[in-house]
Amino acid sequence: MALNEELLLRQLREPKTAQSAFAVLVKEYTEPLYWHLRRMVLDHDDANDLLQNTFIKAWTNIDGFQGNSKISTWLYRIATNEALTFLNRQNANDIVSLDNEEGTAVNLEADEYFDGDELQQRFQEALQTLPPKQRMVFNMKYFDEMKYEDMSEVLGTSVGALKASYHVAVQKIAAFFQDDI
Amino acid sequence: MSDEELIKSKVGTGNPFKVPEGYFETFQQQLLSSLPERPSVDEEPARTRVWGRARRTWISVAAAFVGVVVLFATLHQMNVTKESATLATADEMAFTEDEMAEYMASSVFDDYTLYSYLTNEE
Repeated sequence: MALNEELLLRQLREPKTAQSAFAVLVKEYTEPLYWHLRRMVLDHDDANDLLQNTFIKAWTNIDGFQGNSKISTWLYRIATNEALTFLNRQNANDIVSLDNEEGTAVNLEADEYFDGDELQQRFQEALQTLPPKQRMVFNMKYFDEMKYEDMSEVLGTSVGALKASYHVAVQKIAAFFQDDI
Repeated sequence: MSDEELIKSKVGTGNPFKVPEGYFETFQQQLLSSLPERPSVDEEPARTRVWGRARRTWISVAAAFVGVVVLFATLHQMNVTKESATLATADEMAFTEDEMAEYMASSVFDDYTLYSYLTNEE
């Protein structure tokens, strides 16, 4: 059953009902937000930390949410910012190996929570070569089949720019397969 | 075959990632049991609202007071100006005795002429 967002938002702002309303929100969005984050950062523990941050920020800032967009869009926006900030910090700290592709492959190979085959591993390697925001666009369109209009609200980018970004990302990934396989 | 179709034919859209067993349920329980205190939405904004309302009231009263003062000042200024104008006119119109004597002396009518004129009139 679809959430009654107006009612939920009213309950979230009311101190007496805030916690139970937030529990509904958490139950509804834990999984989709987790996968949104996991596809970006790959590692389960990192995705777990970012998911916690996302919900804590939503909880503490709910009064600042104006209701101009859907709650889901707002949550995705927080999660996206968390992921991009994390990846930028990771790049800045040189945590990721300079040889990004090899690093990803090694990490996934050793990851007990990754059970893709070799092709899937290469696919993830190819995705890691995309700039973070372009990868985000690819993931949201390819895996989540999100509408460009919704993506535009989450990412603050025009629909035209998103279409172009997705098109370029698809070309890069397809070229990766053509060259590699 | 488009590029997107090529990718889908190779790897599909399936999810190769896994999570620990019972992860989502555990996550939800832990998160909800450790939520931090939210900034009080009852007291702080309420105090702000009261102060805001009081401040608005004081600003209105002050504005009305200033308006009244300005109105009185303007009216008072208008009266002063009017009185000054009246006094100035009276001053301008008043003749001193010397001025009157001088005027009479320079007049074309001397006493005799004036007398004759009055006599003829009657």
